Amino acid sequence: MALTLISRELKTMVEADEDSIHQKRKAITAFFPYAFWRKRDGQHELLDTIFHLFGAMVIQMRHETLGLPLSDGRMFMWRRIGPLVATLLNEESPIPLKQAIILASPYLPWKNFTNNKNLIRLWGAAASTVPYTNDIGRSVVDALLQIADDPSLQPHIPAGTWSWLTKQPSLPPICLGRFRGSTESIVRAVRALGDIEILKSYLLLIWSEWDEPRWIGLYEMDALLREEFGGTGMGYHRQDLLRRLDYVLGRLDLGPEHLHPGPDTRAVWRMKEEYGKLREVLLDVDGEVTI
Amino acid sequence: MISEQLEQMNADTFATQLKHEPITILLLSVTRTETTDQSRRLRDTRHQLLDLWDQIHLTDPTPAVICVDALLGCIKVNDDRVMVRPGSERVAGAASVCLLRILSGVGPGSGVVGGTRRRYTGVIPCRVDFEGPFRYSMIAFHALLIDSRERWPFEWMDYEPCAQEYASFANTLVQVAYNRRRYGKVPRWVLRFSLHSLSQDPPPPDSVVADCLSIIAIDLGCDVSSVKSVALDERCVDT
Repeated sequence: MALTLISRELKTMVEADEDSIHQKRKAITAFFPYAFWRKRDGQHELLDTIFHLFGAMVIQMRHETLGLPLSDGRMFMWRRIGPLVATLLNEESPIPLKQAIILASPYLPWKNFTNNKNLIRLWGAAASTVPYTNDIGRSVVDALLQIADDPSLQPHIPAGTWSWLTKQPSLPPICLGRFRGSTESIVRAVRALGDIEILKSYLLLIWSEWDEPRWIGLYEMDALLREEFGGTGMGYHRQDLLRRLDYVLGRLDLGPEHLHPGPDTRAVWRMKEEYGKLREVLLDVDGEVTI
Repeated sequence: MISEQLEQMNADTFATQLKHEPITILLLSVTRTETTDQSRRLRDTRHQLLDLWDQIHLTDPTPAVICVDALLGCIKVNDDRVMVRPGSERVAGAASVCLLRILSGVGPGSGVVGGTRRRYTGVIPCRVDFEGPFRYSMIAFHALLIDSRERWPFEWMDYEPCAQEYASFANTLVQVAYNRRRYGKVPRWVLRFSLHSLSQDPPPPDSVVADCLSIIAIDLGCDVSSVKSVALDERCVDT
C-alpha cells in the first residue's frame, strides 16, 4: 500500500514545481535503491518514474539557473546515495543494475563525491561493460562532462572513458554536462589527450543552440582551432566542425521562441556572436591552408 | 541515582510511585535478573525489551524522566564519547530503548520532550558518539532530543541488528516519522535509515522494507491514514 502511494505521488510530482520536487529529494533518493532492486526483478516502472522525475527536475533547474553555474545545493540526488552507487557499480554487480546506475549517473551529486575518487573509476569501468544504446551514451557523456567540471575529480577520470565522446550520442536540450562542459579546464583536458577524434567529437557535442558556451572556454577554443585543426590533413575535420556551427547558427537564427526550453533573447544574441567568431576562425584556418 | 534506586526498591512500591507499571517493571527486571554470562544477560535484556516494546504507550512525562535519569546515572562522557559504566549495561539499554519508544510517540513540542531535553542536554553535549550494544537506540533518542538546528552526522553503515530488533527499530522510526511530519519534516536521519536499509542486498526483513517505504510515503506527504490501515502496523501511526 505504501508502495502504491509512493508510486502515485512520484508520478504527480513530475508536474510539480522545482521547489516542491527539491524539497522531497531526500525521500526520492531514499526510494531509489528500492526501485533498483525492483528493476533487477524485471519491474522497470518505478525506476522509469524516478528517471522522469529527474528529467523534470533538471529541466526546471535549468530554467531557473540559465546562464549560471548550478550550486551543489541544487543538485538533485542526495549525496548519501554514494555508498549504494559504489555497491551497484562493483564488478560483481549484474549488468541491469549497472545499466540503471549509468542511466542515473547524470543526476548524481558528483561534486559531493570528492572523497570517493574510486567511485569515478568504478563508474568508468561499469560503463564499458554495459551494452551501448543512445541513452547509455548520452548518460555517460553527460556525467563525464559534469565530473570533468570539478578540478579535484577530473584527474581521476579513466583515460578510456573520454573515448565515449566519439560515440557522439544525441544530447537532450537540457543537459547539465554540456551546460558545464565548455570550461577552459575541460577544453585543456580533452586537448591533452592528443586524440583528434575525441577532440572533434567533444566540440561537436558542446557546440549547441541550447547552451551558451562559457566565455573562458571560448578563448581557449580559438587557440585550439588554429593549432589543432590547421594543416591539410585536417580538412574533413574542419568541414565537420563547420557543418555543426552552421547548423547551430541556423537554429539560433530561428530565434528564442523556437528554442524552448533554451536560451533567452539576449543569450541567443551572444551565442550567435560567439559561434559566429568560431566559424570565422575555422574559415580563416581553412583559407590559410588553401592558400 | 535512579539505577541505584532501582536496585534497592521493591518493584510494587516503585510501580505505584511512578504510576506506570510496564516501564518500571521492565527497568527493575533488567537490573535484578541474575545470570553469570554477560552476553547472555544482554541478549535476555533485548528479548525482554522487545517483548515489552509493544506494551509501552506513554504520553505521561514521568516515565521519560525516569528513563533519562536512569540512563544518565549509568553512563559517562569522555572526549565526546558516551560510554556505559561497566555493570550498568542492562539498565542503560533498557532505559535507552524505552526512552526512544516514548519519544517516538510524541511531537517535538510536547512536554515530554521538553522536560526530558532539559535534563538530558544539561549533561550530554550535542556532538557525541555512543558505544555499546544499544548504540543505535541511544543515537536515535539523542537525535530526537538535541536541537534540530544542530546537524549531527552519524552513519548507519555498521547497523546490522538481528531481525527482531531491526523490525522493532524500523517500526519505531515510522512513528518518529509520522509524529515529526505532523509538526514539520521527517528528520533526515530517519530518511537516512530508510536509504541505508533499502540499499541492503539481500534486503532486510519484509516488515523493515514496509516500514522504510512507509517512512518515505510519510515524508512525501502521502495520506498516511490509508497507509495505516494496510501496510503499517496500526500502533505505529497513531492518528
